[in-house]
Amino acid sequence: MATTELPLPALPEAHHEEPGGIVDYLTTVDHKKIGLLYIFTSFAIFLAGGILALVVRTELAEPGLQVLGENTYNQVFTMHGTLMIFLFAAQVSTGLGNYLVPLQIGAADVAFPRANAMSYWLYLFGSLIVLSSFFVSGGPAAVAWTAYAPLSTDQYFQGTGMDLWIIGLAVVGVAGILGAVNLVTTIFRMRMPGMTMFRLPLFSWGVLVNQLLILFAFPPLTVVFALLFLERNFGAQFFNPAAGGQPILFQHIFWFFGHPEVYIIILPIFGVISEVIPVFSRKPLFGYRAMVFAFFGIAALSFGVWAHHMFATGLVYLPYFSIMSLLIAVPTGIKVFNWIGTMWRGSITLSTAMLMALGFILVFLVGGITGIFLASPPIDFAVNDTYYVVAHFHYIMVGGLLYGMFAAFYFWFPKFTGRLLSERLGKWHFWIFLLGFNLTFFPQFLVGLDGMPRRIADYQIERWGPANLASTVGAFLTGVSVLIFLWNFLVSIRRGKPAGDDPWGGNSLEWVTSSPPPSHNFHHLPEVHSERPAYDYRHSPAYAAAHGGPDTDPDRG
Amino acid sequence: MAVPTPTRIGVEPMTDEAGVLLRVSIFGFVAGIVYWFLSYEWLGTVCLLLLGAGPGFAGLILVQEQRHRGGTGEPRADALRRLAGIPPKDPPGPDDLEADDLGVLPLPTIWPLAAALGFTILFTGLIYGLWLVILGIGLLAYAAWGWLAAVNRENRYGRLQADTEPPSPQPGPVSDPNPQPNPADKEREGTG
Repeated sequence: MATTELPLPALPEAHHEEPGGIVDYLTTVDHKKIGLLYIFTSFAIFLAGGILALVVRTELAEPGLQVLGENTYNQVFTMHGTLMIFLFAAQVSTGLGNYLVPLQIGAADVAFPRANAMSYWLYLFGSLIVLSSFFVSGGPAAVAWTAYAPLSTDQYFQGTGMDLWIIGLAVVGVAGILGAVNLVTTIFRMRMPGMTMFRLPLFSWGVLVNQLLILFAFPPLTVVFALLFLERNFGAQFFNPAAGGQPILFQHIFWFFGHPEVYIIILPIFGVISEVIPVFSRKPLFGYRAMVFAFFGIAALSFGVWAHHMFATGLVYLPYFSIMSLLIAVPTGIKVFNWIGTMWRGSITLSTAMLMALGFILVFLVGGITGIFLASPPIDFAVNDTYYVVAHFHYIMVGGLLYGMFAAFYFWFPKFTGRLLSERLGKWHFWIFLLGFNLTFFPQFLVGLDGMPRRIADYQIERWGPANLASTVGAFLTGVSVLIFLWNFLVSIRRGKPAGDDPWGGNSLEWVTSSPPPSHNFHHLPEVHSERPAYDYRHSPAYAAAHGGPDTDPDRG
Repeated sequence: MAVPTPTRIGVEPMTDEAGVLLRVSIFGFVAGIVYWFLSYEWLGTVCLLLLGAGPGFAGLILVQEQRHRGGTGEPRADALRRLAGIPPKDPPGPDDLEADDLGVLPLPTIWPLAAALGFTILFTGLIYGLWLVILGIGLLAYAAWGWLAAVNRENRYGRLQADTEPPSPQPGPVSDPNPQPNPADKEREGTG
C-alpha cells in the first residue's frame, strides 16, 4: 500500500485522523460526504414541499374554501414552489454530481474541496433563512415562486417574510455559483489520464452542462433579487412605473434565469437515464456523441427562449421566441430517440432503476409534447395561466425529475452504502408512483383546457370538481409511494443485501472501486480507452489475472 | 517516444474544454445580434451578449494558458501522459497508479462552515440591522483568516500520509475490503 513520507517538521497533532460522528460531517471536505449532505438536505426539503402540495390538493379537492384562507393558500403554494424548485430540484443533482463526478473521472476529490464544503453550508443556511419566514409576523412570502414585481414590492406586499425569502434565495444562489465553479473546474482539470472529454460518462456531461448553466443563469437571478430587495428596503424604483421604473424588467431578468433553470434541473437527470438504460439493456449507449451535442444544443437554446413565458404580456417579439422554443424539441428528441435506440434489441432487465428510467421517458414525453403546443403563441394565449400549464410543468419538473432521481437512487444506492435497496419494495414504489403521479396531473390538462385558472384557492364551477378530486387522490397516492421508498431506504440501509462493488455490471469508473469508496476514492485505476472504462476493465487481462478469468457476461458488448 | 500529432503552423489548437466554452460564446453573440435586429429590445440583447462574453472570456483564458504551456493541441490528460513518457495510444498505465498519486486530500476543517455562517449573518443583517452586518463581517473575516492559516499550515508541513486503509464496515456497508487488488501488486510479488 502506497504512502508518502512526511517531510519534517511533522504536524504536532495527528490531524489526519478524521473525527467521528456529527463533527465529522461538520468539518468534512470529502466530496462524498458533502454529496450525501446535499442529497439528504434536499430530500428533507422535498418532503416539506410535498406536504405543502398535499395541503394545496386538500383545499382544491372540492369547490369552496375548506382548510385554508385565501392568503394562507397563497403562502402555501408559494412556499411549495420555492422549496421544490430553488431548494430541492436544483440541489439534489448537485448532491449526486458531488458524489459521483470525481469517481467517474478518476479523481480523488473535487478541485476546491473546502469551497465545496462552504457551498453546501451556504445552501443549508440559505434554506434555513427561507424556512424561517414561516415563523415571522405576517408569515412567509405569498407571491408565487416567480415573485413578479410590482406584486412583490413593498407597495403591494409588506412583511419580513418576503425579505427573508429574497435574502435566503440570494444566499442559495451564491452557493450555487460557488459549487458550479468547483464542479466545472473539477471536470475540466482533474480527469485521470486517458479520460478525454469525449470519454466522460454521460452523467458527468449532464452535470458539466448543468453547472455551466448555473454559472450563466444564477447571476441574473441574484441581480434581480438585489434590485427587488433595494426597491423594498432602500427606496429604489426599478419596477415602479409611476417613478419611471419598468415592471416588465423583472420578468425579463427573472426568466433569463427561469427557463435555463428547467434545464439546470433536468439535464443531470438526462445523464442519469443515459447511465441506467445502457447498463440494463446490456448495450453501449446509442449515439454517444449525438447525446453530448444534444446537451449543448438544449443548453444553448435554453438561453434564447426566456420570453415565451411572457407571450401574454404583448411586449415581446413572438416569432423569435416561438421558433427558438420549438427548436429545443430537436435535441430533446435526439435524446429520446437514442435511449430507445439503446434499448432496441437489448437484453433488458426490468430492475427498479430501469423501470424508473422507462417511467421517466413516458412522463417526459407527455410533458415535452404538451410543451411544444405552448411554444405556439396562439395556443399559449388560450391556455396561459391555466391548469394546462401547471400539468405540463409538473410532467416535466416533477415527473421528469422524480423518476430520474429515484432511478439514480436505486442505481447508485449500492455504491453509496454497499447494500441493495429492496427490489420488491422498489416495484411497489414504482407502480404506485406511476398511478398516483398520472392521476394527479393528467386531469389537470383537462380542467386547464376547460379554462380553470392556476393559483386560485377556490373554484365555483362544479364540473371541475371530479377532476380535482381525482387529482387530490393521486397526490396522496404519490405521497404513499414516497413513504414506501423511505421505508425501503430505512430497512435496506441496515438490513439490505450486500451489493458488492459492481452489482449491475456498470460502465463508468465508480463501479471499479469499492462500495462505498475509500476516502481517496480508488485503490487502483484501470486504463481508460473508451467511455466505458469499467466494462473494458472487466474484459481486460488485468481483470482476468485478478479474478481468474474475464467477465463472462455474454450480452455485453 | 510518441510522435506528437502534427498541427498547422501558426494555428494554436484548442482543448475540448476551450472548444466547448467558445462554441457557447459564439451562440450567445450570434443570438444576441439576431435578437437585436428582430426586436430592438435592449435587455434581452444585453443578456445574450453577456452570455457570449462570459464563456468566451473563460475559453480564451484556457487557450492562452495552453499557449503558455506550449501545448500541441492534445487534451491535457494526453499531454500529461506524454510528459510522463507514456505513448498516447493504448498505454500500459496507469494500472500501477497508486492511491495517493491521485492527489492530496485536505484535512477536515471547520472554517468553510464558519465562513458560510458569517456570510449568512451578514446578509441577514441587511434585514435586521447594521449590528448583524458587523457581526457577520467579523465572523467572515475570522473564518477567512483561519481558513488561510489552515491552508498555509498544510502547505508548510507538506503532504500528509494518505489514508489507504479500506473503508470501515462500521457505517453500515458490507463489502470485500479489497475486492479488486491491484494487478501490479501481484506482478511485483511475482517478480520480487
